[in-house]
Amino acid sequence: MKHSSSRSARDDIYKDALIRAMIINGESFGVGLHHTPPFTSSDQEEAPDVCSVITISDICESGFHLRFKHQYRIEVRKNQQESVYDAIDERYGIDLFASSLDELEELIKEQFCMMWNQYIREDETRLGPKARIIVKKLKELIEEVS
Amino acid sequence: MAFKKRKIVESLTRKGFVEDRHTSHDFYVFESSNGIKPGIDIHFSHGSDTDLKDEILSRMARKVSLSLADFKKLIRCPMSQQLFEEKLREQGYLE
Repeated sequence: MKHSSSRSARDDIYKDALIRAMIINGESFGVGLHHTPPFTSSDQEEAPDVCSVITISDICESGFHLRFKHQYRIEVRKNQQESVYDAIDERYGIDLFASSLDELEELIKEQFCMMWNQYIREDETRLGPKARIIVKKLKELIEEVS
Repeated sequence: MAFKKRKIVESLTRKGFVEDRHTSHDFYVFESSNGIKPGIDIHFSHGSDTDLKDEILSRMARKVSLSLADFKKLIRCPMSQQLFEEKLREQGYLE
């Protein structure tokens, strides 16, 4: 399993994205980069306690094969007090923790499988208002591969 | 009063939480007394049945949309499934 945890890896991702944006906007590399602020750590860090980012594009387990329409990305924080890794994404009701990054990634995947089974496959008349919102968001994010 | 995983699972399953058997982890999904799923679910990590600290209980409480105090009431029993559903209704989880 791969975690894009290193700062240099993230720098490369941001640089690639910027270069692509400049190409689309017709800017030359040299001029564009010259006017771009330097890639310092403060530019990239969304929050100081983010220690890693888990990305998922495909889930194939527990009898499910789910494909993300866009790569799913969730930030991981190290909870020093409890010595666990935390991942919270309120959009999908994810609030999980685990003792290792691999275990956390596994749990996140399992939660998506659980939600797919419990909410997407459920008759809509049996869902509450907020569950129906989760279903809408999940359908925008994921498709099931038959 | 100590709160162990086994005790919490027992209490929650008596109050409408149903285990999701399609996944290998312990996910429990709430179903109201009239069979509606409000989108409330909770995960229990594998591991020993030790006392759970308030910090962990607080996270569980947040997952089921309760305060820590109310979550403890739900586990201990003073809070019935009916009262829990009323709290979910107040927050828009149930109609």
